Amino acid sequence: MKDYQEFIILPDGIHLSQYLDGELETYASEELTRSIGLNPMLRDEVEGLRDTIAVLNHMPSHQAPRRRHSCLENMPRRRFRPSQIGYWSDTARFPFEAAFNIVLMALLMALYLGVLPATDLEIEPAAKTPIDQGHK
Amino acid sequence: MHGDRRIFRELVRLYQDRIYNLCYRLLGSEEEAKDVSQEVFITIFRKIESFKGTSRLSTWIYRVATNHALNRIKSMKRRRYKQTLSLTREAVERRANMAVFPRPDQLLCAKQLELYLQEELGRLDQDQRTVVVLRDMEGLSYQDIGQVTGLNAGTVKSRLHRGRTRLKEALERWFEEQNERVTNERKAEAG
Repeated sequence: MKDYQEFIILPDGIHLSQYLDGELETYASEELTRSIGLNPMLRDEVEGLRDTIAVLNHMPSHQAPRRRHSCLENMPRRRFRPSQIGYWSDTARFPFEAAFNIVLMALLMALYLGVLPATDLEIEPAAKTPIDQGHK
Repeated sequence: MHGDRRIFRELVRLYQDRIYNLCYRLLGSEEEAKDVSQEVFITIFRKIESFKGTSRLSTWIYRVATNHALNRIKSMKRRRYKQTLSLTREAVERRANMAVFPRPDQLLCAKQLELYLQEELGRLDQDQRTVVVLRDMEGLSYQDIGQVTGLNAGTVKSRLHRGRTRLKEALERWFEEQNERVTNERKAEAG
């Protein structure tokens, strides 16, 4: 048996990879299975490759980072809606600021257009000066 | 145009993790992978009309991504970018923490193993690394790898096998070192 093992023609490594990937023809695959059963060195080689592939298969998959303004997410242009006040600027994102700005604008507009009620102050005529009386 | 954007958004959703992971494994750097994967999607958006349908869409996307990553490796070499393929230890540990393993000792082992394997991947020849990543991490068939890389079937097989063999040897070294370390620790505890 030992003599027989020494004369087994070892397949080249490329075939071992194909064998493990299930890419060998059925006949070649069966032959190789038989050879592996007879040759411990070959068996070790195949087992080592199989373990390596298994480890690589189970390497953790890395997720793409999700960012709010990521180029990947936001490349398709978003439609602007009036409700999105502060959309363009990070600093004006708070609704309080936006609300304050709106109220202030409304007050200024109202003052400009004279919508606000007039004050009760009455302007009295100026007192007659001596010069005015002398002319008379 | 609006429909195109909707389809593109769906493409991004479907492929962003796969493309990022591919770039990360080829480049070994999170920052570079992020940058390149964005470039990949911009290219896809601009050149989707050049996709003839002779291969699957996923194969075409992988080809775009692989070309971008390999170009980036070349440009990094030109810039003598020393951090290429040397993943920072913190980044690996952070990522490994996200993987689900049932026991702390397994988690620790997985962290170390991922760090080690990523470094060994970086030491592989560029073509071998590409083929190994596409086959053993992304699960592409030999035929698809040929279409992505433009290599014939025989070259794909030989590069894949050489890459795997080098990684197998590296893994054997790693396991030997681990066994030796455990044995020494037990001896120290007993002594």
